[in-house]
Amino acid sequence: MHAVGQSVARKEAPNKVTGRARYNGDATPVGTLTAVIVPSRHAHARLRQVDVAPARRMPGVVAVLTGQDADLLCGEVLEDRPPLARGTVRYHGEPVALVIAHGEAEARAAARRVAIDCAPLPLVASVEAAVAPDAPLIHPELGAYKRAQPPVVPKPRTNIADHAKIRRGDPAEGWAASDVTVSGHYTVPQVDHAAMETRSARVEILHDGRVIVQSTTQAPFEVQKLLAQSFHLQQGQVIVDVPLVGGAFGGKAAVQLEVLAYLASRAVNGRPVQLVNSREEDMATSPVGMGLVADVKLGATRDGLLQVAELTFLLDTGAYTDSTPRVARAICSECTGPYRVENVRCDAYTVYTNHTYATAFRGFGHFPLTFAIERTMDRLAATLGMDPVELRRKNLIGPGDRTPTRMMLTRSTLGDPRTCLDRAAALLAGPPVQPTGPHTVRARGLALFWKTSSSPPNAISGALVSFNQDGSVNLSTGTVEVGAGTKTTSAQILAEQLGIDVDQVHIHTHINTKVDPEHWKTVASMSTFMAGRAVMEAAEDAKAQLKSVAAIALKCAPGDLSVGQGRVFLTADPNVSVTVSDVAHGYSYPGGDAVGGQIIGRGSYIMRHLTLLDEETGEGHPGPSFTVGAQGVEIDLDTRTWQYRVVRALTVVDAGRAINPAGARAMLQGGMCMGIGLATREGVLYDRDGQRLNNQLRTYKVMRAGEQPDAYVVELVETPQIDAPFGARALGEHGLLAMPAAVAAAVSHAIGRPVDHLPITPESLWQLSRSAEAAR
Amino acid sequence: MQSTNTGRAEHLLTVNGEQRRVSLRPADTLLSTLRDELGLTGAKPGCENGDCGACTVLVDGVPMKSCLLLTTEFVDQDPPRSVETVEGLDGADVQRQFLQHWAFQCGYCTSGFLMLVEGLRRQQPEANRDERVDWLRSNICRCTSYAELIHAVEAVLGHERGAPRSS
Amino acid sequence: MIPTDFSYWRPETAEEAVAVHQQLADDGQHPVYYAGGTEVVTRTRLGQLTPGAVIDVKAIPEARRLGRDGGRWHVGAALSLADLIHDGSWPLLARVAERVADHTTRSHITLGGNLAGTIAYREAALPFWLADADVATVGPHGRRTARFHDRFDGTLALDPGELVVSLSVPDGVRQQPSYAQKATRLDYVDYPLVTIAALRGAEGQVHVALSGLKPEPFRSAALDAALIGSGSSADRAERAARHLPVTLVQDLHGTGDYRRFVAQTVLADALTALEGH
Ligand SMILES: Cc1cc2nc3c(=O)[nH]c(=O)nc-3n(C[C@H](O)[C@H](O)[C@H](O)COP(=O)(O)OP(=O)(O)OC[C@H]3O[C@@H](n4cnc5c(N)ncnc54)[C@H](O)[C@@H]3O)c2cc1C
Ligand code: FES
Ligand code: FES
Repeated sequence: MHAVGQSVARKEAPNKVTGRARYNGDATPVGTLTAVIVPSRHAHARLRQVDVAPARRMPGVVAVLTGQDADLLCGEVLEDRPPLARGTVRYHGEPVALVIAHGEAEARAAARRVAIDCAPLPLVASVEAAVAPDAPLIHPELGAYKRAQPPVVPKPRTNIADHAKIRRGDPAEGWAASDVTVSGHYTVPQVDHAAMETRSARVEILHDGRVIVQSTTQAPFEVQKLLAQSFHLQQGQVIVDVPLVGGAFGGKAAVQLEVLAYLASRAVNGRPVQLVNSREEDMATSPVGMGLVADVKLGATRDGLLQVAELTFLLDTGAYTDSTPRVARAICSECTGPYRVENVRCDAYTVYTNHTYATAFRGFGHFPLTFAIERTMDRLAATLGMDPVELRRKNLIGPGDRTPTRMMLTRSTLGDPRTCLDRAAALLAGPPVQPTGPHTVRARGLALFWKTSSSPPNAISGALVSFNQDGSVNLSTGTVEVGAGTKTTSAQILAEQLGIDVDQVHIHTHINTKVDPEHWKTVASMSTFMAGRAVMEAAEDAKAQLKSVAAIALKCAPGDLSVGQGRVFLTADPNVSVTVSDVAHGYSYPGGDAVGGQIIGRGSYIMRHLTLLDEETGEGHPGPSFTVGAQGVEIDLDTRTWQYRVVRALTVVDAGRAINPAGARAMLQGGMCMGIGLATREGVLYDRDGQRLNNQLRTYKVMRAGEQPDAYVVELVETPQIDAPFGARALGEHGLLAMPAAVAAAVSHAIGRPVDHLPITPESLWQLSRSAEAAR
Repeated sequence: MQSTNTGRAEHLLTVNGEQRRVSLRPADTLLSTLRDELGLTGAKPGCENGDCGACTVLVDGVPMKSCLLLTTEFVDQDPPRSVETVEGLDGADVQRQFLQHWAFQCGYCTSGFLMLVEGLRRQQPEANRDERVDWLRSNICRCTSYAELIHAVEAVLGHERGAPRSS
Repeated sequence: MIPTDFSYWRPETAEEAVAVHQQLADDGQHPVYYAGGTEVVTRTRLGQLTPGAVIDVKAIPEARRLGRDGGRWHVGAALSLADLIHDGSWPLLARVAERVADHTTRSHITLGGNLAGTIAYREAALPFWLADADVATVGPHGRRTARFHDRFDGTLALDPGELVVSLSVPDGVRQQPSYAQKATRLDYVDYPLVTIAALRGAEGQVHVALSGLKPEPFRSAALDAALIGSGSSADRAERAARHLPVTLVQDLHGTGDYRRFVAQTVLADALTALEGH
């Protein structure tokens, strides 16, 4: 019986192909009120008056709330965000009022009647403008904000919400030892998660004090804690229930609508209120992924050995910080890319702008980081006249080396970047660019990535295993099923440990904070590792209990027994056995009297040996292990029209061990597709007044069928991570990480000029060619 | 001339071969009627703007975006107009092929894609590769790489040649 | 979810439609004709439109006609783009229509809605603009058939309450050599940077109409004239491009300068395709 290593279909798959899978918006109880956000039409303005009276008089309206009704500040790291604007609005789309009505139609009709009177304030339209000496301040109160989850280092009286650093070695020495120096300036716009299911939340406050929250969150336990804290409730009063989630990509880790829905329910005597983002709201009112402006400088010897890296990152967090200071530290942790560099100076600033605020986005800052680093590596290769693959090979980090945070690497924690690089290079064999017609070329580009979890050092996960009378097993974990197949993976691990078929493991796809054990958040691709470890422990625990009851029945010592295939048996003589169902609920003697009891296996996991990064040096231990990989693309480009297409994309990644190979491949390919989208078309746009221009899928372009490469190649290298379940490494985010860098490399080869800004549209290439012509 | 006044009224709508009594306003979209009145929540709102296709259903066998349709157009018709949703697919090949080919992850786009591909199978079973892709462009999937969906379509239409391949 | 309310009307003749439109307008109902609904539904959802009544024109038989009559080919305004593509008997129209929106949405969007809509690309108008088309309407003042040219200058000049019933082109136009291309920022399904429709006349002269450059479709006799003469396609396209409007649309899809570049490229492509050099 082998469950691990099998391409098991998702447990909930049959429901997903019959329309029976339940998402948050699919089962709204009759009587639920609807709340609708009234968004700000200004990007930066002082609120003079919010007149809700006309809306209040509309039919069906029960209540209208404004910032006056919500005296609190939210923020995962720094409490800087009022759930409803108070005094100032800081981005176009920011919630200013909340209309609660019997139905959505009434609420939306009334929302249009809320009159917002405001006086525009000077706009901060970019991170560069935000850090200019005389920049208008977006948060004059910055110094007074509570730091909810240090480390965070705000710079009062500036727009810098946080400054994270790496200081390692002696850069001066590094520069002295360098024969060549290259530098690059890179920009990556904010991007939208664009999960197909928009965010939503429903809250009901019962009169017994319980607060029932139903939401699309990736972080139910975070919602629970935050609501309890913000509204002075016992945590147990808050029950968060999350059904299947229709894609998340980090965007559903932020807690926003839950707070608004709570405020709404509180305002209507606890009646159930739901808040469902329209696509427009989901894009402009709820958080996006941060933008990045990066300056990278590398020094190397003539033969290509890196000596020093100096990096400055300006993270466009928009109007509020949310998790961006944590992203900044994640970027710092891996700021050199998977290369050995002894002398590192890195500054990552979380910068306020009058853009939509940002939260985690798949990869937690690593696709922009990888873009900046890998583009600079290509520059260095060009300057040295060296093959980019060779340059990377020379500098690859390996066991025994230290990361920028001075974490010492082992084969288990790092994996095998060399094999990934070599395989990818072999799969991408061919000249960097070759003509294919009078004005068409095919070009290739390759890039590497690495990433660790950057989770809190005390992140936890738990698992509970119970048995049915027939011996089948129930598994409960705290992870949310966002599409990654997490629950199925956990079931596979349990099946493997108990020696039973996956079909014998029953999971519930919903999670409920009241009954399911806590799992930190379903983010950072950490679910397999953390929940998996908890499941393994729960399985061991259950097995030990089964053996101790079976030992009585079989008149032997528990140590003589093994568990598998639904039986507990003598290891030395499997014919002597009892079935699991005979002992899981107490063993009954032939006379009817019984011993033992219900067997409940418990398991938990807490991150170990992780430490927060030192505020000055960045020293610390940000994650349990790395996932490394190499990605490449082939593109066809027309130098007459500058139109191009990615025709082949490949990933070679050290998966540790693929618990569900088809699932892993699907996850990686999906990530690659998204990565190509980020490279080629995605980006949040604002006009010169800071108004969000592309808040619909009509205008915020994501990949559609036909735009994907003709071929995806995915190869898994398997270097087990010793402390992970069956050696499996994190994979959920990684498919996209180096895609933009690889596409940029290929396009740069195709047009003979470096491409440093995302997204790479044909127009951007045309502009580049024009400026090159003008310069001639 | 048929007309329906503002305000709520009861009408007959044929969905998945069953006559259903629905209460609706003329301004109700088919998507909201299916979901909120009939509890057929397979069709999903992804944009309510015609862009994503998550709400796709078959109307007289043709894929349509139910967020763009007024229910009123389809009620009380003789002969009745036929609306089919994913709930009406019962063990169809397209469902099997989606399962086989890992054509979904989160599953939110799946009902829409299933109905789109079922429509393709019925309307244009001989569609060539370009035509198949052109149909698929109507919907968005944010999770998969589209290769999986294309493989599923190939399997449904029963010709596997000339297709993008993944390894 | 459409937050506001309206009444729904489904007339069976054009006259009935116009009469009910007038009646509702007089009652202050702000009626709109409703065809594919892709604009009416989405704009009403967003509050950009607040009709008190919608008049569905899809049950009017003559607005769904398709076929030859009296030496002309007639096409009903309430036919969907998918219908026109499926018919395929005018390749230019089919090719232009094929690139509007996406496959499913083309089963919604109607010819009339595309010509009369607020979303101003109006790509389906391009072939008719080139083809000596007539447009048949019914308005408060009765029936009228006019040259498309005289009523369309990028925008269809309709009287309030006037309904487009059908369009027609000389039958032979459908066999004339033609060319269509849609250039977008990058995505296949997107609004155009430039959509070009080109038709080659009996005497070899190429006429073009373009969408995406100005807020509405654009054509110019001077531009067409510049396409004639000696020189390569690229040279003539460059000359012709000088007759493009001075300011071109500048938006999230592309800058005006880039649109000019793209327009020149598609002009050259059109000439090459239609002349073979
Ligand atoms: C997903 C999507 C993608 C799109 N992409 C494109 C694109 O690429 N290119 C493009 O050009 N457009 C595009 N559009 C816009 C779409 O083409 C327009 O909305 C279309 O013009 C509307 O046609 P309809 O039949 O749906 O019109 P409706 O919404 O029914 O009506 C539109 C307007 O026309 C009026 N009208 C309709 N029929 C008549 C008639 N017979 N006589 C007089 N007035 C009439 C209506 O009163 C209304 O004001 C897209 C729309 C969607 C939803
Ligand atoms: S919800 Fe209908 S197309 Fe997106
Ligand atoms: S499976 Fe998630 S959007 Fe398609």
